[in-house]
Amino acid sequence: MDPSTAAPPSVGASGFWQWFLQRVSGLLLIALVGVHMWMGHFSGLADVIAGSQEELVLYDIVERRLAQGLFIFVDFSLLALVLYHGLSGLRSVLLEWGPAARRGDQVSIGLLLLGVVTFAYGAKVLLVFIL
Amino acid sequence: MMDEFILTVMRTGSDDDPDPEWHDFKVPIISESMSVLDALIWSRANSDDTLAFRCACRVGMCGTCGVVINGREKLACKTLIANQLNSSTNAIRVEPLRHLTVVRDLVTDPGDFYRRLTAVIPNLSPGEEANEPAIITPDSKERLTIAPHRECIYCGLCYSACSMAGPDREFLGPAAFNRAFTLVEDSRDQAAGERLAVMDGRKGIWSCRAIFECTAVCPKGIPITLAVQRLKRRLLVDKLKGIFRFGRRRRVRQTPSK
Repeated sequence: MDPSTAAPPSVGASGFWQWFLQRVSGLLLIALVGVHMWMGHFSGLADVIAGSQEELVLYDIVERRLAQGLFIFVDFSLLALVLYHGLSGLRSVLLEWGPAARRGDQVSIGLLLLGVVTFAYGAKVLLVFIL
Repeated sequence: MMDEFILTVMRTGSDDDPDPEWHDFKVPIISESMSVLDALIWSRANSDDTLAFRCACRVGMCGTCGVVINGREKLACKTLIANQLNSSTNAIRVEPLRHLTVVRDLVTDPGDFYRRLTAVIPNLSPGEEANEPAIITPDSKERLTIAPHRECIYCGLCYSACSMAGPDREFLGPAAFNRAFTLVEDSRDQAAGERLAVMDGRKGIWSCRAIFECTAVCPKGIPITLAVQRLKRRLLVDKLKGIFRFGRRRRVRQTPSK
């Protein structure tokens, strides 16, 4: 590839960043959901088998974990990425539908507001365990 | 084998009732190799000489007779009647290509299709200092990469089948992307930057959802979606390089002067 003919990066070029971030968020979600599923549902398996823990998921264990630094990062990241990936995908689908495509900006702003409100609600739930 | 079948054609309405309507023609099956185009020609010659459709070479080389047959984009000259009929139906449904303005019956205005093609600078731009003649051997990687994509006959079937061309009338479309790919990969061409800039936008390549309908209907078997994905990859690499190049310049500026 000849660098002299390479296209310069276009800041704010519509379409590219949504395409790119959808893939990046998807890859991150695979990792984070894996961590979340393991910690939430399988990490106590050894203790249950050994008899030191009655059930796989106990509220006080979850409560302690949600207050730890690493899992604060994991859970907030998961919340943000799930919302971004889901709403961005929904935006793509909506913008392929004529009536919504003609109101592209309104659809985008509406979904952004929905994302912000939902994130705030989820963060409020998580903060209960931190504060 | 059946003796005859029903050719159902979507026809343009009259001045009094412009809505399109289905019209049935009872067509005899003349031979096993009878094509849909043969049936259209027979119908016009024997039933209704106002039936409008396009054809030229009749051997699948020009792309003029592209239509939608039983819901799928095909060349009428290459689609055999025998392959479209089965034990449950003796009817074949023919419609004009999608996403194009219908002029009359099966004839569409290819203007939108060619407008999108011209938007990607579809001609080779060798530059003023090109070495003549360019030597690109048949077995070179460049030639082997480009060759399948140069088979395009601009029939418009891919554009008709494209799900994104419908809702978004400005979307450049698979044929334009395929043509752009053949030139961007050509070492003789010096307009790759301009061409990639055209495709780098919401109406461009990023709106392609890789649904593969274009590849499925291409009568020349061109892997159009592959071309689109390769163009996306090239644009992505260029953008990332640009971002990291910008970052390096910032660090250089922060270096204290001697």
